Amino acid sequence: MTRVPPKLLILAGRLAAIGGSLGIVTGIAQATIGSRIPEWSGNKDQPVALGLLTIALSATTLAAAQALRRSTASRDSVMVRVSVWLAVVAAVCSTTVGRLWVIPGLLLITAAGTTLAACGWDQFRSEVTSNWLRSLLGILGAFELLMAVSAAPTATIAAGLVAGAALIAAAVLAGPDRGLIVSGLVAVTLPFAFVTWWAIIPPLLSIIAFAIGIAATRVPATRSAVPNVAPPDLHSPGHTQRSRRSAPNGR
Amino acid sequence: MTRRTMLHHIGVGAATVVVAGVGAGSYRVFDNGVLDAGHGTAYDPWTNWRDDATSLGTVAAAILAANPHNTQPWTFHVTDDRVELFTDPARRTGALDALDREHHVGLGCALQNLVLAAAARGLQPSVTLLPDASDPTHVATVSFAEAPMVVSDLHDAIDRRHSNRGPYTDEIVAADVLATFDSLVAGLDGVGIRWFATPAERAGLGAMIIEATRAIIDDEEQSTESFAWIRSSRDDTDTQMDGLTLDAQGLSPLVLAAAKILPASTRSAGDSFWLDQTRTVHTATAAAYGIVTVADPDDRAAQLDGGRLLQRIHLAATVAGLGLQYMNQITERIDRDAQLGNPSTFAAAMDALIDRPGRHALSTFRIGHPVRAGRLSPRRPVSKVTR
Repeated sequence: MTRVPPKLLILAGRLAAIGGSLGIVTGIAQATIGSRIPEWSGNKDQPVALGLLTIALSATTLAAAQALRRSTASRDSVMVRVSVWLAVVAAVCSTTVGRLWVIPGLLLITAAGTTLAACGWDQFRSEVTSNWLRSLLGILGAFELLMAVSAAPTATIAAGLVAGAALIAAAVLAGPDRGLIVSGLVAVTLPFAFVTWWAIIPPLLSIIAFAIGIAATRVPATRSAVPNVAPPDLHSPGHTQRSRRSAPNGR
Repeated sequence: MTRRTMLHHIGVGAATVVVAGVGAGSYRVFDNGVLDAGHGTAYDPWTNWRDDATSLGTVAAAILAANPHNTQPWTFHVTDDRVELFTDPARRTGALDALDREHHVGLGCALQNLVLAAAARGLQPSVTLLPDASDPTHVATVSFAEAPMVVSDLHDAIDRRHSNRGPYTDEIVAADVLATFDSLVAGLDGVGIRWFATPAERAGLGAMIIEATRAIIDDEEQSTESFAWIRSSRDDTDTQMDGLTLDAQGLSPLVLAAAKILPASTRSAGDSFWLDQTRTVHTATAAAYGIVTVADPDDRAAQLDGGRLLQRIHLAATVAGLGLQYMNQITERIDRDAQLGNPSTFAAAMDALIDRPGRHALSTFRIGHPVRAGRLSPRRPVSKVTR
């Protein structure tokens, strides 16, 4: 039986939806008139590419918002990842559209924090510690995105964005096929590392991502060992009882 | 805790530390523009300088000229039929250029680009140096008359000309190439060029340049003035659009990236690096030196004409595929000694090297076949230098 998501998650979903929608608007503004409003758009060298990136990332937060609205307590591990993703998008886009990102960024950060509050700190900590290597992989992906948005020309930006997104995807998605994931990691990070070999950090990041990717994918992503504790604002006491019974091992 | 568990924890901890290190490096790559050198508003003047066909467009060419420490010491007043060139006193380099010699040589370089750009726009330029005796900041007026368009090789090289501070190959610069540069003095009164192309001549001048570099570093005021124009961060470059950047130092790609990722160097570290580069790269790989000579190096008109000749030579060298770097340490020490009332040791030694009675050094440069291409320097746009 599908349960109604807690109020906090509904609130987080709405915040993410508004933040994501405004984010798309700022991305459109950056891509179209960004060079004419440099004091607002951050005076970027590649406003079109960065605008498109902002649109794409903001669109993913709309999907995250949908997930939050449909959430159930038995999927807290997913909610933790959604929270992290919202924070990553908020951080990355703060470098792409300048001051235009203030309001969408604040909304997304608030949505991430609200989601985290709904899941509980113990759940977050347990989720992160039990998937620590995957978390590192995701962090490397965020670093790759950070470097990509500061690169030139557009082809190099694209290679970096694909590499960063792939690393984050590999970190977030539970992958049963170790060989496929590792091969994919190498394949997607190599082009960016190759065209920026002289910058030292991108090829170093690729090597480290490869090593961590192997270690992280030796076992599939685990869900938290912490039992799901229903958030305090669930709709009914019985709801809480069912939740506790249904997830004795965090599943 | 089992041994296996302990090893696992150590491995995870090490991975965390490594990822944190990569994170710090990634941020520096992002923040210091390691992956997009030579892009951005500060570099736009190198690509849009041909866009304006009016007299204002001549200024767009003028601001791409060589100038001391990339101070861009100019302002322009533009009308339909003339451009007036002024110094910007706020952009002096103090003790480093004690008598404003380089300041005015740089203005001469800008004047030359302006003249070339006028001809390429169908404007016949007529140059009057120092037109207003009551205003020493007004260094030149260029009046225009309609004429057929004259687009020269030198004009087309304006956006390819960059100071090349990297190493040069051991290939010599042929004597006939240097001889063609001699003809570039046409129309400029009282300026000449003295070449130092033999090994003995290069060794003598190179040793004096190294000695002068040491003297500048030992002079705290000169060292401080020099360091003030170093731009170590991308933010500084983007906001100030002037000065000497890491990109323009002629470093190999790996060393350049490392220099940008690591923390900015101190003045003393920068001085040591400069001396080391002067000794092991600049003087060690120079295929030849050139010295622009004049009768009176303190004469403003001679400085402006000397600057025009320097710019012509640099553009011609660019057309010929040669690299060129200004090496003015000796003349900087000559003027500093004069300012302080010190014995003129460098002046006497330089005159002896030039060995041309009645001729003195105005400005020095090295030339050669570059190992790698020179990179762009930031420029303030036309809108910021016109009044």
